[in-house]
Amino acid sequence: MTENAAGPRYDAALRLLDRQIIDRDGRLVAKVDDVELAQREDGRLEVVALLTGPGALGPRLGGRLGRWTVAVWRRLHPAESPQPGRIPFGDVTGIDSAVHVGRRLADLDVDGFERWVDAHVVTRLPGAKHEPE
Amino acid sequence: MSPSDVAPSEPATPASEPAAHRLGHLLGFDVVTDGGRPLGHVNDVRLATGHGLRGTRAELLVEGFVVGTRHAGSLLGYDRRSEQGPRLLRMLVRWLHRHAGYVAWEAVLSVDWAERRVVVRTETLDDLTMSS
Repeated sequence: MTENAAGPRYDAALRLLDRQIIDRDGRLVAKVDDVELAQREDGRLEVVALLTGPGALGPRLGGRLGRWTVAVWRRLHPAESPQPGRIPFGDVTGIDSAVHVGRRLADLDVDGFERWVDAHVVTRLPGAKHEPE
Repeated sequence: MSPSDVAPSEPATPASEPAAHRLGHLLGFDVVTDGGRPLGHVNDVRLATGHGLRGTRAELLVEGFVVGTRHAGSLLGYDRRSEQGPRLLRMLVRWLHRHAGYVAWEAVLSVDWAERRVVVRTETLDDLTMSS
């Protein structure tokens, strides 16, 4: 990040993509898998949201791996038409080595896919209830 | 400046809201002059704070594009800070990306999402390094 007279400047891919998102209590939320831009009336593009989860990462990866990522996510996701997790940029309170948001994890619209896989797949694997050493 | 043909792309957006685009889609777009001469590809998107507020912080607007002439992966930031070292690695990355540069938003004529192309009015790229 660089400061100029108008405020901080960021190179988006370098400083936002794949960064950890941390909630107001310091809990890890997700990684920034993509960034949503919107065109304002004056034509300028503006950052409006951070996107998380395989539904955001897959298209960014592209190619066969990207298509496979999205296909598996859609297949396993409990929702009929799943959407990537979306955190409005207005919830972002700070950007340093991580992206900080001013809300709690439970209140954020992040992709519940990992929690669903944990509850429905991982815990059913043999040995999944083994106590950590 | 107002890019005239910024077309909607994924994800679908209700008609009452601005068209939504993804940064990941924008990366890799061809950058060409209005005469059609290729200048490179979008390697990164430089953001700057605007005067409006989004929640508790200033809005972030696209200020310009980092343009590279090769798909050599991330520039790792070594090309954008004069003081960022190690020196040998910085020199190597800068040599690999010696044709990379910057196009300010004011020089952008259009962003064509369907054709994956940014058309600019300038014939040359600006210096890439951000001043600290």
